[in-house]
Amino acid sequence: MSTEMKDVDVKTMLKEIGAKPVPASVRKFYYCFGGLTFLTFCVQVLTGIILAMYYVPTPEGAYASIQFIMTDVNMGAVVRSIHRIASNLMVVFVLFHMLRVILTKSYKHPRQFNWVAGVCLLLLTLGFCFTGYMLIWDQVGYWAAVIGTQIAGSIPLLGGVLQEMAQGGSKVSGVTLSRFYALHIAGMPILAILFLTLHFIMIRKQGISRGL
Amino acid sequence: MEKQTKNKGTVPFFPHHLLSEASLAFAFLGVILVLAGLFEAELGPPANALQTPIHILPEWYFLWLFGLLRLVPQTVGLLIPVLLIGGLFLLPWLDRKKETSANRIILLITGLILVGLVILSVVARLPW
Repeated sequence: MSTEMKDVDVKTMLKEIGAKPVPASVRKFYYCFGGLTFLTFCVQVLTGIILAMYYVPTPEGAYASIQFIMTDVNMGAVVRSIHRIASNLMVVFVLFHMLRVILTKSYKHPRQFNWVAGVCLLLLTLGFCFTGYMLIWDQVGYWAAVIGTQIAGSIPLLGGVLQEMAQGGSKVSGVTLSRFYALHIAGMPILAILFLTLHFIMIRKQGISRGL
Repeated sequence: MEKQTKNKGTVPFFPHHLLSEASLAFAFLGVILVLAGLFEAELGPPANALQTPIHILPEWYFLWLFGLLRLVPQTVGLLIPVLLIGGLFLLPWLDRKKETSANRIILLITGLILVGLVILSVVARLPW
């Protein structure tokens, strides 16, 4: 058995990619929202990493560290504003992308599992928004977390356990902040990248649906 | 060039498609910068566990849930989003019509849900 390595001919590979025909029907403007969502995600990763360099995930330190980002860090207020506005745009683009997929009926067989991956990404997007909101540790963020975890707690049977797991105790505290922080900057990004990869591999294999 | 005549209605990925995609991406990054300048992120008063704020509203994308919980008991208010998300996951299997054929029912339900979400968001903003 030979395990000979094949030479990687980058030039031919690039030529093949470059010559790949793109159907004009998928170059209509309403096909752009998926790509824009991904671009927004990249913006969030970049600005998020910068913000994480200064952010302190403790009840005592969180609010002050954001004040520090806003006033003392070079371009800090800009980076935070971009992170905030891009999070809103991401929700908008995910919605538009979803509507486009529904209107062109692209969710149907054989792309049904790509649709499922997409719904997971929608939930992740909302999860990012919810956890990120609380990290600010201002009145709005704090009480959003209180109400959010209370709502989870009112689910029959599972609710109590869920609420305690989310809060890391019987009420929203520093433990909750740590949990939301870990999910926001580690857990959910890993899941998001995983689902994005699946999303893109399936598009490559199945091609973009021509729609109507 | 040969490819282009062979496949009608297509454009080559490079440079045509890549160029239009890249310019759109850069234009969009510019839009983000402008919006970030127009809507600067603010910082409200710090968290105070002892003082519940009187008028607290979530961000616009969670408003509908807030409005829903105002109108119906909490168990029902939780059941509806769970059903919505479940329905979303199962959409490809719920829509049994053949590929490419229009499904008016799905479009109608999508429209109704969207209108419902907007109405609930308005309800959330109404004064008590």
